[in-house]
Amino acid sequence: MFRSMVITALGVALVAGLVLSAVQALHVSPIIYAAEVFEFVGPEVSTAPNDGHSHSHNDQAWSPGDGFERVGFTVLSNFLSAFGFTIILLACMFMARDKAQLNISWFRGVVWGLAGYLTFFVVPALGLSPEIPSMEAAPLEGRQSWWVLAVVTTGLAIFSLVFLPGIAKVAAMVFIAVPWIVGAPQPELHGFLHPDAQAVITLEGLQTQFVYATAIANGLFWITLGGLTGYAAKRFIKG
Amino acid sequence: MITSIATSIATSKADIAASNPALASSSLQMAAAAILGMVVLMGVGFAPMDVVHNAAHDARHSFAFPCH
Repeated sequence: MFRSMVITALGVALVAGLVLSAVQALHVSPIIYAAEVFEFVGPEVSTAPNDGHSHSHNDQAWSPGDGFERVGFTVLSNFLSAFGFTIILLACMFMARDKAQLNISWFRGVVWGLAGYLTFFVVPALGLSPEIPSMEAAPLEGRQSWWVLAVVTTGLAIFSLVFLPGIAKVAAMVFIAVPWIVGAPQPELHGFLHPDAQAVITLEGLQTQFVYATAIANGLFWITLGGLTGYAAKRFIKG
Repeated sequence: MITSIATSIATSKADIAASNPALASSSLQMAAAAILGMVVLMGVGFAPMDVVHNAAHDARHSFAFPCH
């Protein structure tokens, strides 16, 4: 069964990864590229506080060349992430089927996909807004820990609401509250430290666009991934 | 006597294999699958090495994984 789950997840990830890559190439990546133009403009910015940001323009480490190579590695990263999400979703679907008699179908898959969207994108993004390059942010480790906390507690909240009996569903409230009681790490200075006021206005506009673009791209990605996972799980995985 | 013991052992083994171990092994496979997924996601989204960061940079931003 494990083998067929891996193969199914690879197939689903291929399609969902390509859907995401297409939406991303049209609506998300152009915003990243546009923001990067403002990233390394002079000594004023390079001496500004940062947390060891090592971007593709960093000479010290290998990075994919602009154009085909960069897009290729982005598509590969999308595919690998989609594989990770899909196989987690498959494990959850089969667990729910075995323990709670929850049938598997493409439609149920879409609902699972929406739960994944909420868990892995919406709730973490409410605390840590999707960022474009050159935006100030709190130290990376703290943000990564909070992201993991938000994902785990949101997953547990959805599990409590759907699968726990009666009054025990109240546990969901606790799980929803935890990441906000802890609080998402915020930088001392918000926004952009670019010395040119006009550039800051442009970057703020790009940032707003980026939030909408990623919300739509990830929503489409998760609906596709969920629906396909439900369909493929029913059709191809026996056990 | 020996035959009957052997038969009863074989029967009880068959019983065990036919009931909960099947489900236990299935749960184990689910857990293994979920862990595999998490390891892959951590690698693409969180691995600190510059090379991995640079390769996955645009995907990390798109998924709103904490980056930089």
